[in-house]
Amino acid sequence: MSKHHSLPQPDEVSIEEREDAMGGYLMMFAAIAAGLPLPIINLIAAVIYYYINRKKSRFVHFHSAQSVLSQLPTSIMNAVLVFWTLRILFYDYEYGNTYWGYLVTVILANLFYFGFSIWAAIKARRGQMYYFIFFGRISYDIAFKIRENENNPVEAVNLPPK
Amino acid sequence: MKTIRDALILLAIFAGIWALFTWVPLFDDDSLSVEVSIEQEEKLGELIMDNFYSSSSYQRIKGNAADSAIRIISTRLKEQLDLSEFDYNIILVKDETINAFTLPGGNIVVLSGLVDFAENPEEVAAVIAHEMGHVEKRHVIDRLIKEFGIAILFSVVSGGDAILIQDLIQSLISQGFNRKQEAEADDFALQLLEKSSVSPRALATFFRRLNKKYGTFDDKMEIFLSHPAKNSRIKKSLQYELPEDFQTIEFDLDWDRVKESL
Repeated sequence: MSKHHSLPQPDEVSIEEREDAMGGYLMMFAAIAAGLPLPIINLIAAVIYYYINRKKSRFVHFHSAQSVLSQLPTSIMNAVLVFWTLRILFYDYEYGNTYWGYLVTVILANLFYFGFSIWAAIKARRGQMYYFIFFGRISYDIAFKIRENENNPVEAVNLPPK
Repeated sequence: MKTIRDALILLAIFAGIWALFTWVPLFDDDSLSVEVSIEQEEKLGELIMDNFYSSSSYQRIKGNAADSAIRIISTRLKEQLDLSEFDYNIILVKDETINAFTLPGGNIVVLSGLVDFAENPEEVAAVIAHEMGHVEKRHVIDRLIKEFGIAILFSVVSGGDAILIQDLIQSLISQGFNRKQEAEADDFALQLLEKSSVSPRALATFFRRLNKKYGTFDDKMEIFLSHPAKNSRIKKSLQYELPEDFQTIEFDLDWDRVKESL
């Protein structure tokens, strides 16, 4: 059984942390404004945001990680859709039911992702944890798991005068 | 373990939704043509044919070797349409464009440019079989309903408004079918050619030569208007499975003489 750091309660999370945690989910709106129809833009933005914010606190780290990870599947699905559509348009492939089925699935996935992200952003702003299926557990481990070397004191560099 | 379980749940949801919308498409593309009976379509076809030459620049070619060839080719194909409810009327008109199109009620117009371009009667048979596919699948009436609405069509059938008929004719000459309809017509044509002892490969050779001539297919030509995956259409024709004992029966036509008569 792996050990985890204790979870901060809402009253222990500062306003700045809450806003930084919420920001990860809201990056996609900025990315949508800047990047559509290129689905990869929001992923790049979220990764940059993650690396800037992950050191701030475990709470922020968790939400940023969850935001980045949960974007991966939809971003890949969107990229495949764009690629598939371009092939049909320019390389003479047919629109079959498989394509239309995939299109509907991708639209639904994006809508769900959108809805869950907004809800997660609201929760983060309230200082609460919110776990997506699958990505929630991984992000929790990333941000809160106690690493093996974490309790070993680092060899001190600055020492008191001898 | 729970992470793996969650991942599997997500994958199952993804695959399930994809499969669901693949097998139960959202876009119900079912034919609208059931609202118009065959008799009504034939009546519309008669009205259109009565006004066809006055509403277009086409002139019928009659009584020469090419006209006779079209009759011989289409008779062979018609003989294999046992269950057809349509009384086919296939005509040849003077126009250099490599084209053929379908009008309501089993009327098919073949342009002289098509006969001139075809290397043999089998290629013409392939194109006529394709047009017959549009007739049998009722694509023409379907397209008219989508474009003009059922009420307008019924008013034309009952009243015969000359201006409306002209509009219908112009639309029928200039508009194409969608990809799904073209694919259905191709499938129909390949089967009909097989039954008629004409090699289904004729469709592919015709497509290929046309492709070569224009680089890309002539967008004005009905059978290529929506250029539905032309390579896959050629491939489909080439890969069409024929029974081992399949034998072609050549048309007894002097094709050079047919072309000269144009």
